[in-house]
Amino acid sequence: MQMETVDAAGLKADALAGGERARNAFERLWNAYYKRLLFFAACYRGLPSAEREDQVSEALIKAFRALSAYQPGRSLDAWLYRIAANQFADLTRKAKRFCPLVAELAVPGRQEQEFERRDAAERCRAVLATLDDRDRRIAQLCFHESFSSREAGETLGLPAATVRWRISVIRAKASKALGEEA
Amino acid sequence: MKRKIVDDALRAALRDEIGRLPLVRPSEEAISRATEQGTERASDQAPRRTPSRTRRRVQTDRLAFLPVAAVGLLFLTAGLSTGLSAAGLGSPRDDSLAAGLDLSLPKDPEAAFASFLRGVRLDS
Repeated sequence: MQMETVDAAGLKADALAGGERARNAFERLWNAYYKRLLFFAACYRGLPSAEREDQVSEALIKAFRALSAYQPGRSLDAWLYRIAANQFADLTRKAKRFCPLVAELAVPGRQEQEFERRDAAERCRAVLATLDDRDRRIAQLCFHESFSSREAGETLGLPAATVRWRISVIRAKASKALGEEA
Repeated sequence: MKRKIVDDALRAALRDEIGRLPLVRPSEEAISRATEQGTERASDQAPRRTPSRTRRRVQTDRLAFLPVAAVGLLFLTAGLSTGLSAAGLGSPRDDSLAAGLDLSLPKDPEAAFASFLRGVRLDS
């Protein structure tokens, strides 16, 4: 999958222009972030799977309407993930419902076979499925979005040192799954 | 194994996971909500139109404190003034200790000294 990039300054200008330009800008934002935020939403156990799509939609609408407050010099990814993280965390606190995320993604009986016959990415996918929610969020932000420890910490409300520690744990698990020491 | 290989594998795994998710088009309602009401401009956001209840309460509390502060300041000033006067440090024009005393220099120092001595003898 090619990660779609968005010209943040142009997006903001179009959003503020209104009309058809704003519609196009919203669709650009949507196409660039919908899947990423959907995956991110799945890292919040308390968020029922049936509500994830709606909540991602809400987060994107909220972010788009708040674009006037966004400063183009800063990372749009970090800014948007922060909005989404706050929204998902709030809803999770309110719902306090258990959503068996790991059970949905992991297939325990097949894991060993997959480790042997699939490539490194596939093995890592299995590792990701066994991570808890917090580590999955960290993995997505730091490995997929290339956030620094500080940025990921700010987005998730964690100290940067904790993020660094969890990254090392995730690396160790992935390394073990790949059959060698990191 | 080098760290880069592990990181690349993790990155690829995440990319695959995210890539497998379905991309749906935004609904008309979502687009309308995002765009038709207009994106809030920075000039619309500040200043805040109505202060929140908490802020109003804080402002009211501050106003209620003003008379108390004024009376307190009055008492403090009066007390300070009295204290300074009692210590002889007040303004010469308002010095109660100096009231009734003639502080001007005597015209005839010798006569004044003799008068002082007489007074001492009488007292003893």
